[in-house]
Amino acid sequence: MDGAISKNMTLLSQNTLNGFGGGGEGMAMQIAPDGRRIMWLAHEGPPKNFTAVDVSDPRNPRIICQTDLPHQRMRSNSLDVTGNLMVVCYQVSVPGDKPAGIELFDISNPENPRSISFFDMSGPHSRGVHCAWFADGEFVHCASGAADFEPRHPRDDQIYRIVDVRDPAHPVEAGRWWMPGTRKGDATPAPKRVRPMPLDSLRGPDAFRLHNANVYPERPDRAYLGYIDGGAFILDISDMSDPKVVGSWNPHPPYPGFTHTVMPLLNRDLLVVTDECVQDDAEDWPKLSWMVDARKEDNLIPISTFPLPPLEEFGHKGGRFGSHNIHENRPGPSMRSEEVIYGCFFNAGVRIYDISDPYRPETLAYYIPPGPEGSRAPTAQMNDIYVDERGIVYSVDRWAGGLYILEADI
Amino acid sequence: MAVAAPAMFVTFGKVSSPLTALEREGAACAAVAGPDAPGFLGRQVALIDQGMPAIRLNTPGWLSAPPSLVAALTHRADLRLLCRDRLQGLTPPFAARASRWIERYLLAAAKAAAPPQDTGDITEAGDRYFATLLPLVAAHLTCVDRKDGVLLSTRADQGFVSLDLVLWDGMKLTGLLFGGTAARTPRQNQTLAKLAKRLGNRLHLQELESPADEDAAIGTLIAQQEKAPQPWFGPYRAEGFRGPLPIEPAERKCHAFAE
Repeated sequence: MDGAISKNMTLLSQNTLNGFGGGGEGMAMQIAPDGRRIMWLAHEGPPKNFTAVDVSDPRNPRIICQTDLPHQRMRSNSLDVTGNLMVVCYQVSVPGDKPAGIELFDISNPENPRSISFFDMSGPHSRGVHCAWFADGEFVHCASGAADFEPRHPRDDQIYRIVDVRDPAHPVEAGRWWMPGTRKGDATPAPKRVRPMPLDSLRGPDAFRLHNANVYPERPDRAYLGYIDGGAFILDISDMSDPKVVGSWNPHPPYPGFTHTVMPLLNRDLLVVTDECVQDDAEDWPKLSWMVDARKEDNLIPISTFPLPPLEEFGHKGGRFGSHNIHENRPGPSMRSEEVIYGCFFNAGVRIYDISDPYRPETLAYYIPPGPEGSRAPTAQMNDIYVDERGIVYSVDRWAGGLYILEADI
Repeated sequence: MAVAAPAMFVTFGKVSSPLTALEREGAACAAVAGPDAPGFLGRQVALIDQGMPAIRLNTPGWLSAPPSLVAALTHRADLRLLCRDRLQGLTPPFAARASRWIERYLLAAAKAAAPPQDTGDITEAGDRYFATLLPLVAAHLTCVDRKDGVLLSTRADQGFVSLDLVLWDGMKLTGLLFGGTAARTPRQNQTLAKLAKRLGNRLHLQELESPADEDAAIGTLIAQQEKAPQPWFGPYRAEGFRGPLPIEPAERKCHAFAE
């Protein structure tokens, strides 16, 4: 691709998703009953709900389904798939608005997803659901508000909620947890704000709320939470109705906040913890990806960070620069390496790291596309990433570039 | 025409740069190893060549313990604990699954052998425990060709292949890999396939994806205890017994392998 900067990576194809190329934080692969590989994509914002792309031939992706949101005051930023069941998150702009919750779809026929149920998580202080994890086909782990949850600070509304979908037509809440001190009425004092921001927008930084919750079938008694300014938490969820903290780590402050993902490497007793860059022009630099020693869950120790390209080169190219989503080693048709980590870093593109020596992560490969046409940022803003079990890399631009399919020579 | 199989250099344990470890110790390994002593086992590097006997817990070379410590071990059971301790000490800090596997493997080894007894004899039935194959953890393997019986190089000219654990039974190297093919990049899988092709039946790769796979591997490998020649010995042998015992060549009889 003209204007791309790369090392050990090749672009196989790009699809701008019918002109709605703003990719959110939901990418999941389905092997359809007829054997096709379907990539399900969430959108960053309205008007689109989700898009399904047949990526059986990664050089020739084809859109097979694209749906619309019911209105413009909401987004479905996240989705996840297990087997032929898909969960889609609905988040509204203003607390109290609807629909806010999760919708389950039967995607046996990917061209025609069939709604099975909707689990309502709206409420006077709730914006609904930002992110969901659904890897075992039984429980959805999500960042959501609740009708009966009133946060002390309006931005702290999305807590950890577990929804039992073993009967997909009748989802029920199985448990919840929030960082002590963030709910109105908590005995624990409210946490001190890391970087106080005005309340003109509820989105963005200055928040003690959940972003990602990761739970792996190999370790069903543990939930790994990225709790934005609250840092990383490991919860014992052997009793889902009563999650308990077994370990936590928070570099914020002095770092500028927004812990996003906590991914355990269960064979190695390590965590990869990512921050999310949420401000343009490196306003919140440095946003890092951390290697954390988790041999003792109750004594988490950072041991290194992933190398990033120079601030001088990328900080002011436009848009965001720094860490965000990583490929999360979920079960299914998915790469599950504990030595090679795939991440997206907004204007620093897709980057791949060798962490075989976790004290010294090394860059193996990267691909930085040129700024896509029609984007509100002058650079590509690589927002989410998925890697299938064959090592094919799928990534989305946040605003206009849509889906990029890449091959890494590693 | 049968071609002599390449020798295998294996670095193991807390090694952050296999190449450096090999550069530092490879030549010494090759110098020690020869027709009369095929192969070499050190504390970070092993040279596994045709004719090398199985590498067991009681194979000299890997176990680090000063004489004063050994003298202080008054019970046979302490020797088992010493082996376990040293093996765990070899394990890199972030090889958790391998570490847990070794723990279970040694428990199975103890179960298979008679309980340790302090009979005062040079050997005893419980020493079968030390005939357990020694797992070399966090292994990096590279092949070295030879010409006219001489190793061509002690450097890893062809790169290393990483294996979570390897065990040498005198005939073949068993390589254990956690996580299946999806845990490796396409190139890592290609390199592994190339190595497997090159070594033929001298290499047995086993993917351990589930706890059941791990248990099965433990069962198969512990059964190798029985193949060890008797009498069984502990991890320390008197000077005169350090070399292969007269009975051992039958076990380590190796053939030239066709490529």
